[in-house]
Amino acid sequence: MEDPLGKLMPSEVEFIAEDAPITITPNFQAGVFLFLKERVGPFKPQRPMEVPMWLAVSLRRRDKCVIHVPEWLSVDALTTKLEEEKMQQKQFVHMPAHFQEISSILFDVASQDVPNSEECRQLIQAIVDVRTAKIRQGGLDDMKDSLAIQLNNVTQMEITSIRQFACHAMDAFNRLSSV
Amino acid sequence: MAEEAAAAPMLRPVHGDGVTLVTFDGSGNIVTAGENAVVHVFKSTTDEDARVIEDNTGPIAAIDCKGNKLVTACEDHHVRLFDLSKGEECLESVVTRFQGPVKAVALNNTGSACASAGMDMVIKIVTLVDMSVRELHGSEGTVRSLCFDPQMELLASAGEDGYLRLWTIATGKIAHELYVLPNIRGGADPAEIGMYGIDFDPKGNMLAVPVKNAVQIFDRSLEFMFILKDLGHDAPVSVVKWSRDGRYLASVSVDGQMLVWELSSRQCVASFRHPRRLCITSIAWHPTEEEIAYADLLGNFSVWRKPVRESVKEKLTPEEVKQMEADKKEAASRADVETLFDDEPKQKIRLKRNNAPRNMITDSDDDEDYLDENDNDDFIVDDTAGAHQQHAYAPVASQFVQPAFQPASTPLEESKRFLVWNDTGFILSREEETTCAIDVEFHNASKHRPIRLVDHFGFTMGALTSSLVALAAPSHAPTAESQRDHPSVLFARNIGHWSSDETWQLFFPVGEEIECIAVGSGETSFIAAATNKNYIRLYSNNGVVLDVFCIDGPVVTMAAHENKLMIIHHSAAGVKSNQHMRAVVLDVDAKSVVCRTNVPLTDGSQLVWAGFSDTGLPAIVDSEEVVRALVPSWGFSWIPVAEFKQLRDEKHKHEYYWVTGLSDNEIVCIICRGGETYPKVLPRPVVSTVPLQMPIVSAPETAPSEEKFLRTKIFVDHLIESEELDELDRADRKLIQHHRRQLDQHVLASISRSVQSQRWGRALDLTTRLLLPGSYDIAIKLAMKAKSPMLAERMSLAKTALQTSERERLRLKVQAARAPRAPVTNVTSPLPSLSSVTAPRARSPANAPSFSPGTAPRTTHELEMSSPASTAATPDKAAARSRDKETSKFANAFQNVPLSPKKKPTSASKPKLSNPFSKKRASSSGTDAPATTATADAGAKSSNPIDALNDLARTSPKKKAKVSSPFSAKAPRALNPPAKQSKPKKPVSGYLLWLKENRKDIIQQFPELKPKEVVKKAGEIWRTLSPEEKSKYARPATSEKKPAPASAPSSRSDSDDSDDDEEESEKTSTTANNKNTKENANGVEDEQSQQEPETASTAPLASAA
Repeated sequence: MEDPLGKLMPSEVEFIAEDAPITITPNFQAGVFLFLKERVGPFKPQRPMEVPMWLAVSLRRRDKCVIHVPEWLSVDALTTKLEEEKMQQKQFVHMPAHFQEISSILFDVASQDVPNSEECRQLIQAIVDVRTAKIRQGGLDDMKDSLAIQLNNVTQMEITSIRQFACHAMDAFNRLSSV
Repeated sequence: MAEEAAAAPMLRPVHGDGVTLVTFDGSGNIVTAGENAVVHVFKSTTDEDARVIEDNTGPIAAIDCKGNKLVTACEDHHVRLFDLSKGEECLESVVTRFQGPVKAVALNNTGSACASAGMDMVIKIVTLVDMSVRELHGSEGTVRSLCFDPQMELLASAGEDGYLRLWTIATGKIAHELYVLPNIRGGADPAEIGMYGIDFDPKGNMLAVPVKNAVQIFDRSLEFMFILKDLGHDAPVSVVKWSRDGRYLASVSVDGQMLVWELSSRQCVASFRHPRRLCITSIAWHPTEEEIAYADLLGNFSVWRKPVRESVKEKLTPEEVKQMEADKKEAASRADVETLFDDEPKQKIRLKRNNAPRNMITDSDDDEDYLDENDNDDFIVDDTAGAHQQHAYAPVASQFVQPAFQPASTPLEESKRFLVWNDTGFILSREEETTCAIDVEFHNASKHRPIRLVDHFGFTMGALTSSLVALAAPSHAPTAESQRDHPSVLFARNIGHWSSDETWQLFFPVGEEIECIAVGSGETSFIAAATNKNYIRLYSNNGVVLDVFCIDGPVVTMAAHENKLMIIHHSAAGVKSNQHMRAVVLDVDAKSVVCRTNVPLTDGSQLVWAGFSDTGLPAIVDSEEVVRALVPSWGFSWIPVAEFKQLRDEKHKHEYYWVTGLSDNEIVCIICRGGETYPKVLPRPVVSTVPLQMPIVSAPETAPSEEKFLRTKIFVDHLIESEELDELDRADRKLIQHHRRQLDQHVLASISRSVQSQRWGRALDLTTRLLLPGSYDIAIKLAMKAKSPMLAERMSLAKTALQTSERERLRLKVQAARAPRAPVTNVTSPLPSLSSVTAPRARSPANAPSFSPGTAPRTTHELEMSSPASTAATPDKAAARSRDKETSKFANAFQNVPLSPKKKPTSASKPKLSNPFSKKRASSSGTDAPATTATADAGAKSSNPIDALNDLARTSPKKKAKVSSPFSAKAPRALNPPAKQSKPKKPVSGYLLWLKENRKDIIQQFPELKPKEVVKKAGEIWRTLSPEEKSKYARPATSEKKPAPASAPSSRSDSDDSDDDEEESEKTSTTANNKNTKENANGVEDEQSQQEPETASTAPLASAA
């Protein structure tokens, strides 16, 4: 049976990530908007509120709001995460869902709203690198000996990037071991 | 005074939270260090370009400085020596290393030796010349403080083992030891027990030691000499320091109080309080000047200039000295009284938002004042201004009365301040070198452009709505600094006005000062200015005088929202440390009072914000951060909707919410950190929202949802009541439905938890709170799931009751829609004054003597019951009774009627209250929807839990007629003309027929009468007529009636059902009837015939009255 998730492309994962709520401070007044999925509003100037990421992005592009950067997206928080990530050889540190996508979107549209954005960008990249390396070395190495690999705290984006390959590899190993 | 305030050094935040240390170097530079491992060297308190020394790698626990030499004791186990005369690279050497964190360090007088100690319990004395180390063993706890004897023989140490020790430097042995200090062995909170800061006097004869709340002085052999205690500290003393000449001793306690003692008299000669009452962790005397630098627990430092004024002291004659002594004795005798005022508001206050310098003058309490000579007014600190402020000795028992303030304004800081920050935008006042400017910026950037005004008057008050900017300034007399000379002035600028942006200004009479202003937007915008004469002066947005009236006491603050104006003023002396204030909420359009009520404040607190929620509910915040909202239930009571101070955890202890507004579920605020109580102008503050949380006490499992229910209900009730149900468009209805669903969700959550814990009774109680039938089904499911069919059964009965009452509500609604027709035609002619209004249905509230708008339509019910009740009988009672009958049909019985949470006071006064709030009376006239909100909702929702086991047919209306919210902008319209309800209904048809015939005669007879008086006269004449004559008219009236069952008086008593039928049948025709504006006689007759059953049955009622 075809797994619908199996065909997910990174761009689609990013699309899914854009549904994540984020806090903004609008600078305009508006009532409630009914969208397919949810109702958003009312908007009041200078009143922080939660909206889906995609709406925040579109408002930010038109200078209609200020995006509140999530707490984890700061030099301090990311540095700690990076340290933890490096400390643990096998396990993954819990990161907020879609942290890669959200941060990349934020750097894209609202880099002024992110304090020390350049530094944050580098830290995110470093974390992603460490994790990718772990997936490659740690997770996939185990495949040889076991029927399943455990990938706790791995984000959807990361899974997407390895799913096809990993599944195939696992199948292959399974076939080999049953021979 | 203002100049002095400006000159006094502000607190300077330099290090992060934690113990901060301060000292002076040989040339008078201020050296500070803190837990962020950084040392700063400032040339002065305002030095922007401080040197930063970053060689330490851990929190710095102690520093000492002699000449250019600085030593730091760092928790990274190192003691470092710096030479401040060098430039960037001033680290001289690492003096010594320890196994554990170093806690104390001291240099000897010449700077040739350094003593240090810490958790290692060993004291190391290092000769800085050759770096030779001598270790002193014998301490049994962490050493917290060290001090060299100026005579170079001894070293004093104070440790957490509770021992004060004197060591002989030469031998390294303990010379003397004494157990006087707090013994804590391990983690000590400096905020509680202090810093163990001991000090030798410059001659080396006396060692000052902080012991509990006093300073004890010991000699060189640790023999007790004397104690400095008299009227001193209220909290443990933390640090003591001798002045360089040895004449004075400064001591600080952990509550932020600093005292200066004179050695010769052993008396306290000056006192000072940390502006924010934070724990002071370090003090230091300036080497040459009369200055004490201090640093607090949050990384701030500042300087207390001239703690002791020499000139005054020297000039004193012996007589004066005697007088001083006498004063002190008197003060001492008052000490008992003082303790009463220990908690005086000012001590706890997180004050802010002083309106203007003039306000500071009014502050007059200070428990430290008595320590001073009368003329020594330099020492008194006015912490309200956030700066040192000096003023004269004040009587001890003065009751604290807070000055007037503008909600959401900040005090002047660095020549800038917010005059107001609200939902619309903010007004910023900036003083620049040559000019002053006012900046107005709006949050809604798409609607308004920022405005910049030149400030000629020194505005200190501002108010802002989206259509109006108002500013006010106190009077100014010319001074050396400014040439301003004008009386108090009010300035306004219309924005978004059709005739460009109009401005106007008004000068108030000399001697009358504006204390507070507010701007609202009713039908037209208005400006209210409260003055020191206790006047409220109202102006329209264009400067037209609307009114002037008096209030009962000095104003505290004002706030406005749409057509509502809330004035809070002092009204009497408070009890103990409470202030006694009253709030008046006015409807400016209607010129009426919505309510008057006392203002509840937390004991010893101050009012810091007053305003309205988004939906118009009045709310206040006090300095203890309790938020209260004024609700119409309980006869206008303040309900606490949040106690933020209690909610804050340890991590956020030093936060403060500077409130700018209130929305339905959240407080809108700017979060101030680090002990600040107001936001700085730059960087621009960020608005946050913090959810409210009512302080309820309930079972832990259901508390959260119960709290949510109660809180949501306050605002939803208000929202629903403030809207006219009949006028709601679809979106509004949807919104209300949405809110109802939310309420039900909260209740269902509680029910679910109650069911889980098998508390059936509680679950049933909660069920009665549900609003939507669908929610009952869910509740029933929950009960079934929990295998309690009994509960489910009762729940379904409750549902039936709800549906019944719903039906009843609809019926009443229709009835209400029909009823007003009668009076329209009937009363128009006899009441020309009313008919002159375009639609007589809209009635002036002033004319409504005792009946609520909801009364009229339901009178029918009252009559159906043939109730001989007095006119004061509430409609609700009647309605309830009628409902009784109906519900009894369902044979639903109640064993015990649970408390109805929604039941509101059913006194006649309630409806009375509801009347004056109609804002849009006039605007509603002319429309053709006679039903009123109140009516529609009135008989409304009565549902109750039902106990089928008991057959007692008893019910209580769960929800009483909803009285339209007084705070709503819109009010129920289409009220019935008063004649119908307020005048006896007895003569309706007969009298009218008679009047019709005789009106002209009366007018001819009394040509001088006005139309209104004609009716009065007619009434008088009618009353004098004999019964026979009256019956003559009564008969034609009845004969014109339809042959409906109601027409026969005999059948009336049991006409309930038939009446219902009639109503049902008429339901369909009502609309048509309504639209058909009948002015002809037929129409009148028609109305009268419907009126008839009332007429007849009211007879006993009227006669009883």
